[in-house]
Amino acid sequence: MELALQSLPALLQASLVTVGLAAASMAAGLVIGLLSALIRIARIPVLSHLMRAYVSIIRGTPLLVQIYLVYYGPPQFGWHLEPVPSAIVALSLNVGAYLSESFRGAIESVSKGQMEAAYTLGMTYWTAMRRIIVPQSLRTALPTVGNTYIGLLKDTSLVSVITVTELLRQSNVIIARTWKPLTIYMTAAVLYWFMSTMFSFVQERVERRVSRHV
Amino acid sequence: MAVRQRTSLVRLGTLLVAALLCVGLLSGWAAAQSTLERVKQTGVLRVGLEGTYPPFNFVDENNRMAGFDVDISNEIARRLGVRAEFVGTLWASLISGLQTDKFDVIIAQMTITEERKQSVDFTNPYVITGAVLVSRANDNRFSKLEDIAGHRVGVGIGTTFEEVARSVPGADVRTYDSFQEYAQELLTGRLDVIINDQLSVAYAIKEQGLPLKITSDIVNEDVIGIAVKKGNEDFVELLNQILADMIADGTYREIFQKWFDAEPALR
Repeated sequence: MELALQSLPALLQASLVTVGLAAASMAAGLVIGLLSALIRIARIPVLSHLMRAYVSIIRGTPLLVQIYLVYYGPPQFGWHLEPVPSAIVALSLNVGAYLSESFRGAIESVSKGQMEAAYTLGMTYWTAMRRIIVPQSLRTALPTVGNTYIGLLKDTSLVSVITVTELLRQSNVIIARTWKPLTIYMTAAVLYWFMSTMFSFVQERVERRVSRHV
Repeated sequence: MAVRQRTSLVRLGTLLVAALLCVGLLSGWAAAQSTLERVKQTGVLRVGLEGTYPPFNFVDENNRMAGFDVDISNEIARRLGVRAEFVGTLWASLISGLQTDKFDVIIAQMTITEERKQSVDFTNPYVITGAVLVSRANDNRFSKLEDIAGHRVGVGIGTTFEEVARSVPGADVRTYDSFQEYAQELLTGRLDVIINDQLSVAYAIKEQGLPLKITSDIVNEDVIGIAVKKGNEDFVELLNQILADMIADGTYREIFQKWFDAEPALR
C-alpha cells in the first residue's frame, strides 16, 4: 500500500500521457474515419478503393505490428519521427479504420427517404449529407464510437514497446527498481479502470443530451 | 458465377504480389548520415538501453535514469563535449533501434558476439563479466552448466544467456523481456534455474533481499562493448580512445566501484 502511494505520482504523470495519446489519436481518428466513410459511401473513384484497402489492411493486421512498422519503417528512408508522434500516427490510423466502419454503418442506417426528401428540396448530394444525413447518423454512431475510444485508451499500452513512457512502461520501470509487480500492476489497472469509467460517465451524459428530442 | 469468382481471386492474387513487391522495394532503401557528425551537430549523444536492468541502467526514485551504464555514458558524453540523453527500449528492439537511428550508441551491457557483429560494430570492451546460474536459496541441484538439462531455465530473449542455455541439450529454455520477469518466475517456482550476469544478480539479491543464490562459477564470459551503427569507424575509434583514457586516468575504476564491491577486470 505504501509502495502504491509512493509510486502514484509517477504513475499519474504517466496516465496523463496515456490520456493525451488516446485523446489526440481519437481526434485524428474521428476525422480519418468520417472522411473515409463519406468517400466510400459516395463511391468516389480511386479514392474509395484506396479507403477500402486502408480499412482492410488496418483491420487485417495486429496493432502491435502497425506500431512497430510506423516506428521502425520510415527511418529507413531517412524520415525520422519521435516516439510520441509515431505512437499517435499508428493509433490514429488504427482507430480511424474502425471508426470508418462505425460511421459507414451509421450513415447507411439513415433511411433513404431522407436523402430523397433533401433532393426534392433542391439540395445537392453533399449539402444533404452535411445538413441532413450525417447529423442524424452521429447519434446512432455514438455508442460504438465510445466503445472504440475505451478500446483505444487501453490499446495505448501497446506503444510502451516503442519507448513511450505511458502508464504501462512507467509501471515496468518502477517494477525493475522495486520488484513488486503485483502492487504496481494493480495500481496501473486501477488507473486504467478509473480513466475508462470517467469516460463512460461523460459518454452517457452526451448520449442523453443528443437524444433529448427523439 | 464461377468465372467471376476466379477473376476476383486473380485480382486478389495480383494485389498480394503488388503488396509484396512494395515491401521489397521499400526495404531496399537506406539513408546515410555519419553518427559522429550527427552527435556533434545536435550536441546530444543519444544512448539506447533498457532502463529496467539495475544496477547497470534503471530509473531511480526521482524518475531519472541511473546506473553504471548511465555514468559511463555521461562521462563519455562529457569528453565528447555533448550531453547524454537516454532512450529506454526493450532489449529485443535495441539493435533495430540503433540501425534506424533512434539513438547513436547502445551502452546496455551488450556482449560482443560474432552474430551481433553482422549487424552492428563494437568498441573495445568497457566491462568484462560473466554469466552464472541462479536458483532458489534452498536448491542445490545446479552447480555446473550441464545441470540445467531437463529443467526449466529462464533467460532474457536475444541475450547471450539464451545462447548459453540453448547450448545445453534437453534444457527447457523459456525467454522473457526483462531480468525481473524471469527472476520473479524463479521465485514463484515456475522456473527451476535462471542465467544472468553475476554483477546484476549479486546486486539484486543484496538490494532486494531475494531468497535466491548464485550456484555456479562463471559459465560464460561476457565481454561487453558499446554498439555503434555500421559504417562509423571514425566514431568507434574515438570511443575507443575515450575508453582507454577513462581506464588510464582512474575515472573508469571510480565509476565501477561506485556500483560494485570489486576490482574491475579492465585496468
